[in-house]
Amino acid sequence: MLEIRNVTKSYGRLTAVNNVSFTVRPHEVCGYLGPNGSGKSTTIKIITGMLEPTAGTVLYRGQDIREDLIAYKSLLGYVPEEPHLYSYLTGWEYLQLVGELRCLPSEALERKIGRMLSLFLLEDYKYAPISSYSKGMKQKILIAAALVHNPEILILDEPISGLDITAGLVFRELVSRLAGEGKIILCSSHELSLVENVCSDVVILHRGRVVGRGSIEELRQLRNQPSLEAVFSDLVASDNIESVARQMFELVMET
Amino acid sequence: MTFQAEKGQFVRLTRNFFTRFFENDLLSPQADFHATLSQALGLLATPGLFVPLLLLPLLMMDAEAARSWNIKLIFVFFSMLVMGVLSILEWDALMLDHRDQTILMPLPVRPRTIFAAKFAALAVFLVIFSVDVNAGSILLLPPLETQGNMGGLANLARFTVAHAAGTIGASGFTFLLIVSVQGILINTFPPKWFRRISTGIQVISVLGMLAVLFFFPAILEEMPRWKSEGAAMARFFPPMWFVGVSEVLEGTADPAFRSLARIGLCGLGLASASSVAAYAVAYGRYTRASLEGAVDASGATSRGRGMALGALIRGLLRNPLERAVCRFSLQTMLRSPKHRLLLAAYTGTGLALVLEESVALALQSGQAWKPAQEVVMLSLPLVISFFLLSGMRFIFNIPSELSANWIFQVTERREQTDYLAGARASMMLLVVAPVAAVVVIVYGFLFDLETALIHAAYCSLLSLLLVEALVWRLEKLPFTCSYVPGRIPVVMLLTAYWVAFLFYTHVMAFLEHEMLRSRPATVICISVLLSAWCGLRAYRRRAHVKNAAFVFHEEPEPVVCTLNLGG
Repeated sequence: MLEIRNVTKSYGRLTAVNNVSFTVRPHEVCGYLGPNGSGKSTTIKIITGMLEPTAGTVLYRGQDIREDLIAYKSLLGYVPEEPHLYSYLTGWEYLQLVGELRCLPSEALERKIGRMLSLFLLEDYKYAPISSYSKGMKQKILIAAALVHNPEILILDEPISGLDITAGLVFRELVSRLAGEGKIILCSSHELSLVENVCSDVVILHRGRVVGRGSIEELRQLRNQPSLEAVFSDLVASDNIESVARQMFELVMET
Repeated sequence: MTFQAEKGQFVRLTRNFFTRFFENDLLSPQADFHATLSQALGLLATPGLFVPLLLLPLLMMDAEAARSWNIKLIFVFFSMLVMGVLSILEWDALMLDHRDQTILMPLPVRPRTIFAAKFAALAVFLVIFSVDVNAGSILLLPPLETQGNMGGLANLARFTVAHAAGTIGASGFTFLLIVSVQGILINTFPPKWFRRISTGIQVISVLGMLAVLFFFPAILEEMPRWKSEGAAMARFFPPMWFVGVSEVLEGTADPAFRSLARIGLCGLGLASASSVAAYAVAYGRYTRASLEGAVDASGATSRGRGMALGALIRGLLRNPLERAVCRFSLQTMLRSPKHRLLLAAYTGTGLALVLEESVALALQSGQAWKPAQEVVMLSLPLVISFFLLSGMRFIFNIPSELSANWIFQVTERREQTDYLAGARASMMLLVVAPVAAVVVIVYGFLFDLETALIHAAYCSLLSLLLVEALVWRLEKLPFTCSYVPGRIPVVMLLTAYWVAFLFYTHVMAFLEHEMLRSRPATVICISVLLSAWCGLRAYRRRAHVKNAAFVFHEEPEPVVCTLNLGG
């Protein structure tokens, strides 16, 4: 079980994440939602151990991850929000680098990389530098890098950004299967269809605070809304959406 | 679109393109534009001020020396060298890149406005830096030339104009030549080939300029004789053309200088015309190719070379972490343009020194070598390995695509020694092993196989000790940590480098020379070096602190340093 307990992260006077708590259990895919700038990516960086919280702890199996961060990182697979990759490496070389950094045996690693690239339809591009890849192709490399060592915990930040429809559907199915195998999965996304189809629980963050938590059904009933999209709007929209759109429209039409 | 609107776009774009010249992480990573511009201008202007000040006592005592063309040759040469290095560093910014085009193409800006703005930015860059590089000598040299009131203010003005024309003309010629070479390459080769050739041209240019720099004292000494004999070296050494321009404007009657000035003016005219023509034609071609994604700024890889490197590393290194860091280090140094260029600069410095010494030794051929010359001969591979290894150690500090270093952070493991072993292995594979192989071949040819093998073993062991020393306090994984320049005072660093260089090359070569006199001494010396290396490795493994985390972000020095006197 992965438990985020009273986590706060401040940068000077700015509090990016404020007393956030939630739990992700094995067999569960937890959706992590929030508008831009709500603190999602900061929380995710804290959960991956890349950032230290100002207060609070992240517990894995009841133990603070910072007590043995390296052991925790070896169980973690992470897809970051932006496809920051070494552009002068080829897709194959990048995955080889990640596999070796994770100390995977070389023959099994090479076999796995070959199969992964083939299943992600990147076989023809495996010797091309990543700088020549499209956004979706880079995203596939990120996903493959996160999964190459069969992690126990998967942290996904906008995982289907840039993926084509087929790859997105494959990914959705893959995440469900991995959850079925007992993996702990946290998925942050603006794609509500992905969240509705894959996530069993949802945490909604707004201005650094958790404003909603529970299963999609619970949240819908609690907020008396017909869909997750409506629940989300109800919880985080500070202004009337129609009013904002009207004002934007009027601004655009100004000569 | 009105003329006024187009003019506004032109001015805005020119300013934007000019600032883009300073978005070069070789010049100053992560700094703002004004700071980078001030730093660059200050850095480039300093030698121009420093050299005349250094020569001041001499020139104040001897007005004739100040008026001599040899002094002008120093400044003209320096002007061309600095502008050459600067243009090579800005090679990728000379044309519109993919980012510029992605932003500008959807906007209602005429292509001719974009082209004119880019060209104007290049012109502004040329003018500002030509003046900056030469300002020191333009301001200081003419007053020294006219000391003793040689014709008063009128002559001072004439000498100033003449010196400015010579030095700025030389800078302009260099810049325009490089622009036209780039234009010709773009027009001649397919876009992907252009990218590969570009990197080669940049590396060769840096190597060439450094080699000429090291030979310049000898050239300066020989030039009066070459000039009086009408030798080709005087006629085809471009700085002499612009010395000719300066001398003619000062009113010389020397026909040799008149001829050189004519060549200089023709060269400048030709470089201007060819740069404008080649740039204009290349611009369209490059723009199209860049939009189509055919010009790839980095990572032109060769499948065969990559696989060969992979197989070699897999065969030699058993530990996956060691393999990962070694492979990543080699891939970065061989593929990342900025790292490759930096490595070329270090290699060029080493090669230039070796070349200079080799020429001096070659001139002695036919005569028996003196012991001092034998020592120099033995020191040559050490010179190369010193520059390459210390260069690699410096380049390890320069990050490559810093935002991508998250992968090293999330995969970090405890075995820090294995990561560092990978860094050491990359130094051995790229420097120690190739230098040893070349030593065996060259010294085997010059002397005999036994001497060559002993020399190779001696050089390799010294290189391995140097590798250990350089990586001893490495707290960062190569290329993964942000870099804050200027943490160690430059004077201290240069002094340390100079002392280490002299000890590593000359002192150790002298020891080897003595060692080679007797077989027991050779055995003892090699055994001592081998034991020292093994001892250092064993000590390092024992002394290394487990669980010490690598640094991935280096904090800059605080603006205000407190003394921490509070309780």
